[in-house]
Amino acid sequence: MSSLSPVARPKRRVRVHFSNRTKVLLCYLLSFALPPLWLFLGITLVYPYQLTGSAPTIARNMGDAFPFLKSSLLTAARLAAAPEAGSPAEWAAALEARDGQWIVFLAAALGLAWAVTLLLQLVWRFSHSRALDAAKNTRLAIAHYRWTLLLIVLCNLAVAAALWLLGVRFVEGRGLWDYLVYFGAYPINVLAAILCFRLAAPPVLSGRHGFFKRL
Amino acid sequence: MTARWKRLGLLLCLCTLLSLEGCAMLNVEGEIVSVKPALQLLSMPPYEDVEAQAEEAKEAAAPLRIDLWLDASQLMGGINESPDSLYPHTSRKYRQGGFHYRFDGQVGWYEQVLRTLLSVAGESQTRLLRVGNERLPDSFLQGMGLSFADAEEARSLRRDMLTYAVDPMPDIFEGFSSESMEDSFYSLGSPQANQTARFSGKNAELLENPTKLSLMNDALNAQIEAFDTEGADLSALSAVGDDLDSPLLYALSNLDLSRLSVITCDPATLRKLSGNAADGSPQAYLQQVLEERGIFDRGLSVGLYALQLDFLGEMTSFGAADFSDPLIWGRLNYNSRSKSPDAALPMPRILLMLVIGGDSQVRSYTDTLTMLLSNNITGLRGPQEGQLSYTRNGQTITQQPFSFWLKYTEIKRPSAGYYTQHTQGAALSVSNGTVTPEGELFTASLATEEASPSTLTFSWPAASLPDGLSLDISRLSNLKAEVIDSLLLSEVAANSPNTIVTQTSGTQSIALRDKLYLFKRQTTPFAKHPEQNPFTLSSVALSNDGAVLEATIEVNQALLKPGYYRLRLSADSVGEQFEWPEVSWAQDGGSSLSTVITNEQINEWESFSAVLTRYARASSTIPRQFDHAWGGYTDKAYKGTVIPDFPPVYLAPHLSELLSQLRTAARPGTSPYLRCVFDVFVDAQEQAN
Repeated sequence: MSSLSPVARPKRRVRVHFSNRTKVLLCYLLSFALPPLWLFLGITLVYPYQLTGSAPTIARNMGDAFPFLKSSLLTAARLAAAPEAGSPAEWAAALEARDGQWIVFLAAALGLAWAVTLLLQLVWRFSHSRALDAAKNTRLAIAHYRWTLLLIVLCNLAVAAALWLLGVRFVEGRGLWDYLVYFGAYPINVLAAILCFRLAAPPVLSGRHGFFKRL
Repeated sequence: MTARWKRLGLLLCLCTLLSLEGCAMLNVEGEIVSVKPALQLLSMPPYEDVEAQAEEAKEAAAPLRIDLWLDASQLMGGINESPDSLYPHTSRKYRQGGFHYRFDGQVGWYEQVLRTLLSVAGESQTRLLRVGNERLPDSFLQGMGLSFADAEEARSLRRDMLTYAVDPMPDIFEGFSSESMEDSFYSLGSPQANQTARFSGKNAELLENPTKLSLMNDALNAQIEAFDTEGADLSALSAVGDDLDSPLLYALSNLDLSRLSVITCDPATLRKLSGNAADGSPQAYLQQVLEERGIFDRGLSVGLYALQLDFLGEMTSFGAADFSDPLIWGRLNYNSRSKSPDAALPMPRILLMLVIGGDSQVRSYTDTLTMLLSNNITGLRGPQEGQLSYTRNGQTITQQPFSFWLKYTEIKRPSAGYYTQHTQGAALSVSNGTVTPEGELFTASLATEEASPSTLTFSWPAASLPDGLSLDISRLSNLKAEVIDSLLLSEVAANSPNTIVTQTSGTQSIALRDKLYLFKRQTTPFAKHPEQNPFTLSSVALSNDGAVLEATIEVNQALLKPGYYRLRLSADSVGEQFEWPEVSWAQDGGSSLSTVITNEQINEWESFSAVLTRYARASSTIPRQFDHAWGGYTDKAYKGTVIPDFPPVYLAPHLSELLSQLRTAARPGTSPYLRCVFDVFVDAQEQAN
């Protein structure tokens, strides 16, 4: 009986396992945090010392490209317009407005691409989370993954192209820092999606040796 | 349709939509973001506007006070000063009176002139001053207990002692034309020189030094007594025979410059207006007095009148010529039967009059005076039947009846104009660039990429000079385009958090991408190295038929730096640039009233009058030939002496020189002609990169 005594029983080591859900969530958070972080660092650390004073007149360009937005962007475009025979203070205000609007545009463009990417990725994920006919479901998920990835790439390319056409192409003397800061987040966006596709797929699709790895 | 085709279709639709939007974006013609820094961010400090502060001196708004300085020389009164002369001092035949003669109801036009002077003064306080050949030197005043601290106080005392009346009634002049010339207004050392009795009691306040009235009375009595005393040394108290003294110069020396002064002057009293100093240097006596008193420096104007008046009297001098027997100019007309005079036959003579005061005061006073004199003095005077004649240029001139007329000119310190950036109508233009009126200053923006040199042109509507005066623009001096302030690119540093910009006064920085452009403010940056100044004031000239003044500035593109230059154009005018208009009646020439008396003429006239004295004294009567003005022309000699031309007493000796010295004194020294400040903005690209 003494062996049954709880006092006499040896202590078992408690093993803490991260659940797959937590790992998936962390994977999503880390992956999709990277593109905004890239842009944030670019704007705060690189822009003031490498790109300052080179912002294009984005409000005016957007108004020209999308006439239905022109009236909404009129005030912003006026603020950023180079004043004819303006005082230094007016010039400073115009350049400041131009910089501010450009940064907002950069953030908005990336935000759009980021949101679409995340949305497409989540749609794919939730479309293939049911555990019925696992083999067929996995084959279908792989096919859908390729289509979705193509769509994500196209969306990011489209936003990057808009960024180029509406702003960056008007910046004279642009260099490596311009491309890294303005466009660097888009490949990261795609990479983040790929990472989540392959590492954070639903449990029914993923496995240690499967196409979709389980964390 | 399978799901694959549906997806493909959806993808195609999306691609089409994106392509369409892409096409729209392709067509955007955005503003190119330049690689040059926006130098418009630079701000030049505000300009301390000294040009705007330069205001014309305003005339004092004090009530107008007028001094009438009346020439009381013996010539004015036609008084024979020579005690041993052939002609008597007073007699019915040789009635004296000069400009102020009186015969029955007829008085000389001069009295009308004096009445008009009073009438134009209106309610203004008017002071009559008698300025003759008596002098009140400083030593005499001090000897009489009239102490003074400086020359201005001495002048004040003299003005009080010369004051004849204050706010007089017009009939005061009747006494001047009394037929008895003994102790008259015009006689030398006349008791009338002392009028202190008029200012006893409360009237003393009308004088400048009322407390010294008693001392002044004593001094004047002493002076009169000295003139009365036979054999007294009058060298200090009398100006008679002093070539360098005259009532006009004495009046000018003692003027109260705060008042409007009117000075009458018999031009025959102007013995010498110029000469040579002991070291041989030329001296202009009138000009010296004017400059010493600073008449034109104070912005005063001088109006110069020449009046043709009627004269009846004797002249013992004419300019520097002194006659032992006086000249007879004008006389009474005698009825041959009764031997009593029945009319005065005056002859024409010129009287000068100077009006000195503030420009607007002189203009206003003389406008009214000219109008009233021209309207009030009418009619003809003089011999109507050819009774009087004289010799001129070897010919007998028979005097015809003459009328009153006047000539007038005004002398004031000319101003060539003062052109600044504030001048109405000022404009800046630039050959390669733009101009904006920024703040109070024009700003010319230059483009440095231009291969051709830039030219800046500042233009103004040319100011019209008064009274026909002209200015020789080509003789302007000190032409320069000086950079008085600048904010120029001094350094291009790396734009990093480690770059420390020393924010010294005036340093400004502009960040563009990875560069930090530093602009340094510097006043007069090219003071030590003027050759580095990119701006040269190449010319200041009139264009558009003299309607526009243009200053042209050449820009050396190679020396330009990005930033701001603050330029001041400057040019000075000098007095020699002014070309005065011709005054035909006063300057030497055909129709001039001026005459020049040479030493030869003086010698000739004095010799002949001496001959007259010597030979005519022997006879009891004066030869009929010499009754008036040495008679008509004759080729016969008198006692072996050729009778010369009669001295031109009908003209004004030294008038031309008087005008010339007035103008020389009025001529300004070096004065600012152009002071114009503006900014030049250089929006460089090549240099900035």
